[in-house]
Amino acid sequence: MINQIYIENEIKYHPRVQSILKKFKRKTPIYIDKYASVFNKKNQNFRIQKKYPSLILAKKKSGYVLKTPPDFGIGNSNNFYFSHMYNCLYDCEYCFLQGMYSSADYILFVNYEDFEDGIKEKINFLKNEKVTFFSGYDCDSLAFEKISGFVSYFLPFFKKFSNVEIELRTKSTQMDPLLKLEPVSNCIVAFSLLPTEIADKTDHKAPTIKKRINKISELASMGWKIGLRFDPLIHGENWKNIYKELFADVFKNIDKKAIHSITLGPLRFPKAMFKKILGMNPNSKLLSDVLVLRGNKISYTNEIELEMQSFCIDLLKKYSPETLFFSCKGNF
Amino acid sequence: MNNGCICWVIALASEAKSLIKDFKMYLMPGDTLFPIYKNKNENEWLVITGVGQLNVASGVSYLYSLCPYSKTSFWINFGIAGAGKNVGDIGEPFLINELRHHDFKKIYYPFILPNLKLKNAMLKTYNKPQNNYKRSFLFDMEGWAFYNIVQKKITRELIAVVKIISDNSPETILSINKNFLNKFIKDKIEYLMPLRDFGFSLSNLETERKKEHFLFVDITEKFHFTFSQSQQLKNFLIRWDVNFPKRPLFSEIKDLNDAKSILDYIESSLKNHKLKWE
Repeated sequence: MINQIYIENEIKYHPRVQSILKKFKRKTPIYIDKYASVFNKKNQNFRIQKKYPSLILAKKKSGYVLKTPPDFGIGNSNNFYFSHMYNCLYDCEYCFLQGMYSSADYILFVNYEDFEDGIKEKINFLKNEKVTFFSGYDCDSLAFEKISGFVSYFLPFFKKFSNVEIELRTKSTQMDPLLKLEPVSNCIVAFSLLPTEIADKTDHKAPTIKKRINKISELASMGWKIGLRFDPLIHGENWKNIYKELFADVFKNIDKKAIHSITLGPLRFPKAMFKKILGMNPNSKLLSDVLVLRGNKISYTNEIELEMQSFCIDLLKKYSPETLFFSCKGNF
Repeated sequence: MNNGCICWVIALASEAKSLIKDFKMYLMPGDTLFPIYKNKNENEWLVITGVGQLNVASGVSYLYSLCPYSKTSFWINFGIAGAGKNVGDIGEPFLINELRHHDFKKIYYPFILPNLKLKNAMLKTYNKPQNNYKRSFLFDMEGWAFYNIVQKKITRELIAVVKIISDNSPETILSINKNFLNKFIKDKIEYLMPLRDFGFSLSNLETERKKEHFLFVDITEKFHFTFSQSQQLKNFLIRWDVNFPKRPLFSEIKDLNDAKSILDYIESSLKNHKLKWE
């Protein structure tokens, strides 16, 4: 539910803005000079805003496409991400977005054409090289689709470049644009997954794991390439059993041929953000666990991290060839 | 249990009179810089600041220093405002969603509280009374200055500005007097009730979030904790409650006799605990 709509004056008459406004006929927008007049101000309460988020329609001025951290990838050596949106509809306790901004409002950058130019520039520069673009780094790629039309716009664009892959990272089960299209061979629909017992406690407002698996199964049977993202791996009593059950459940329901890649990543928070995140969620089970400072990140101990990683890899080997496994070490 | 707190900031006594009566507030005794009212439970406070930006800024600071819950209170600037003829009718209340100032470029966009059934409008604050009714917004002499000072002290989601149109033509301004204001506001209090309820609930959320653990004072009064040890204790106490909701800590540490042994005990208990997700 959107509480209020703010629109940057510069894009007041942008066709995408006009079409979004038609979906919120009862809202009277407030026109602002720049999104920073509302977003990420001092003395804002992320938790209250998360209950009553506003939508800010803005124009991204620069930095359309950025390089991913060095260990972030699914096989190609050239990896970039782009964020048409900041913040997410869901409210996951391990998400770094809680510490990134003091606002929980959604910013949607409507100038997709500029992102497209930025992406084209990278593709042209890396001609004949394999490149992966990631969306869903600062937001969920599909959860806001009914409003943003992001996937409907970008999939036909990416379809034209055979040396390029696009990963749509999501927890959403709103797959309308994908279900209406023929599968796009260079698009990977990547789902974040964790055991139901944990997701029920940590993934607030997000679809249940059962619903996510059902949706993956549907897409896989249609021929879409699927990414499985077990990231973050979360520890606790009985963790081995619940991960075993999760993997069994996933692979029982999904056509293995559809799996493009499997990523494992440890639980990690940037050191600078952890205190802020903890302050906002003092009653979080996840954050009250034993987490230690390692370099510039807060995470489980090295022993726990390695044990979880190797246990999960061993299990996954039963279902899938190791060549599909990628690890995200989680350095910031 | 604290259910939150509201701090009202109002320029004129005649604007405040009905609120004071309806919300059962009484004048704080003693020699105060501004007239301050509060209710019996001390969870609703009101300051009458006088007209103008300097007065409102001083009044806010004064109430902030007096009210024990000021940091987690919901702050409301309430009062009358002039408006352009087309903005609304006399007596119509507005929740302000944009605050401008005649002299300063800084614009504020207050947090919009959902489902209040109050119309939203822009308010511009001037240094002098205005009589240009061709404008498309509300105008007053306090709103911007109120927000400007309060947002420096507390979280922005706990601040609201509500104005009722008192004049929208040169003729209507002539009818504003004490009796008119008193009756005029009395009739509009019902519009403030949902905002007030919402304010209490948000303030309560903020109070809960910021409150110290009930054992913290007991433990730190009994034993000497350095600053860093007390920070560690705060963190451990919260984690204890999350991880061991059925284990009262006090009985487990009652025989320990210094800060270090208490911290060591809690830390080792937390370390040996494995989270249960089921």
